[in-house]
Amino acid sequence: MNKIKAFTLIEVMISIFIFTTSMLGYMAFHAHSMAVIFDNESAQFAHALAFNLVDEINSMSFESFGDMVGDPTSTPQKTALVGTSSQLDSVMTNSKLFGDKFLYSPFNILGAQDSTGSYRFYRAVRADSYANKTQTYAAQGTFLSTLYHVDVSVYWPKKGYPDKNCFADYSEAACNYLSIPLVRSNHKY
Amino acid sequence: MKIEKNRAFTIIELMVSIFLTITVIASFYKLYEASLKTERTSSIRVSVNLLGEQIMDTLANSMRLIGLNGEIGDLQTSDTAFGILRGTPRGGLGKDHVSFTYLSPYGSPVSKLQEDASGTYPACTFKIFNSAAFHANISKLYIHNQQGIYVTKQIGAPSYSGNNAIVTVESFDKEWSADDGKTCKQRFPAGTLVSGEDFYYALTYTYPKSLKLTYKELDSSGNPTGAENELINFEYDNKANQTFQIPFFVLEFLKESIEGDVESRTWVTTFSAEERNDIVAVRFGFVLLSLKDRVTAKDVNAAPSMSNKYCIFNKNTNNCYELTNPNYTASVFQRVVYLANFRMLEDQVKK
Repeated sequence: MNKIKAFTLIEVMISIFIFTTSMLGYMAFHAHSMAVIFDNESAQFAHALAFNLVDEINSMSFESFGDMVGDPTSTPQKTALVGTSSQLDSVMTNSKLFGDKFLYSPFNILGAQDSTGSYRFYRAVRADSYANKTQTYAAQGTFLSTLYHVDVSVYWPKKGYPDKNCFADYSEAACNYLSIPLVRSNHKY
Repeated sequence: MKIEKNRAFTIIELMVSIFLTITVIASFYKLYEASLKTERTSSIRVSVNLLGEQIMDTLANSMRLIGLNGEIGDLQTSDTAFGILRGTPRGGLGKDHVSFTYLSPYGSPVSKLQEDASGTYPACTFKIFNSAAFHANISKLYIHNQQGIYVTKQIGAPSYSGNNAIVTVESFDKEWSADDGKTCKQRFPAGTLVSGEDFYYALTYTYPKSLKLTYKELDSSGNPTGAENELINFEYDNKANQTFQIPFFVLEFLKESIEGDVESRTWVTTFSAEERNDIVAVRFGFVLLSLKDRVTAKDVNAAPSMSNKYCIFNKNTNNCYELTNPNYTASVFQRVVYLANFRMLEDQVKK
């Protein structure tokens, strides 16, 4: 008897199923690549936001910087960032600090102030005395005692979480975060 | 009787398998097409970002060094042909022509002494940490010590030893009497900052498509002289092979003023000669546009899925750049540059 046997329909279907399954894996990789591209672009924009505020804070006079971080020893104590948790950069909307053109977050990735759109970038600041931050003793009147540590942070959502407010509701799975530190004095030496 | 077992596919089996194969191939084709589109999109985005960062860094680095070689006298003239910030600057909010001229040692070496200077003053020998900018055509050096800036007379080509450039100076065009009687070593200890000469930089943006950053050397009177060198020459004139365009450029200056006891800071687009000493920072930004086709033809008329207004340091979205062709790729670049060296000089003048 001649036993020449062709593929059966079942065999063909199984092979197609296996092939399709493997391609689904490739499609997942493809989606992941898109997310990586999005995250890279977002990170670049977030860095620009953070570094811009760092340079703006550096460009403040000693007196204004002192006003911004506050002087824990002054009575009454000035408006202060010192010792507080991170606050949105809108806390710095003060014509004395940055003028009336100061832009505060949230922003969208196109650079516009945008509190309702998707993928919002939130910028925050936090300050502490350098002595507190580094757990060192700084005698009053020394240069060290006039130094302040300021953290400028940016929070933004990962791909797939367009409506997430990453400042108010941060989660590692859905959000990105970066922080740029700066140290400066509030006295002219 | 023997039964013929040599059985082939039936027509039904063939049709089903052909249908399945076509379906699978069609979906693979869509996947392949999507991959190509993604590759193209990401490659355009990467080139936009690289070019944008490069332009931004060149502008920012040249501005960041403004005032490094400056002295108080540079800030005490109201003649706009002299000083560190020159002419009448013209900033802009995106759709304006922009011009800004300034002195900066960007392009010259900025380094420090590796060892104490040797020799008998004024004939000093300096061993300087080498840098790529330390080329043989440098004509003079600015040496920053506790008293001020020493400016050397014409120097010869440096010799190189390991990672050092060794320069011998015959004498100085500018020196400080407070150092009288001191030796080279006492005047210039290891670690002393050394910089090269200033250049005259000119930033111009001609709306909507030309951005230039050029520099010239300065003569002994401080006037720009010689050939104009280009660091950035970005001009879009609609030629077929041109891909990138800068259709939107912002330049502003942070002016700090004190009236009575009230101090304020505000971003302005120009300042007078008298206000030059109040400038503490510069900010600029631009939209970089790639005109390469990014999406397939049928997507062109699709409604944009998000805002297409690109904004730079701007509260009013009416003054933003609007991308009308979704086939193009745009990105926003923006940077604030704190003029730390200029600020130090200003503080000394105001003191």
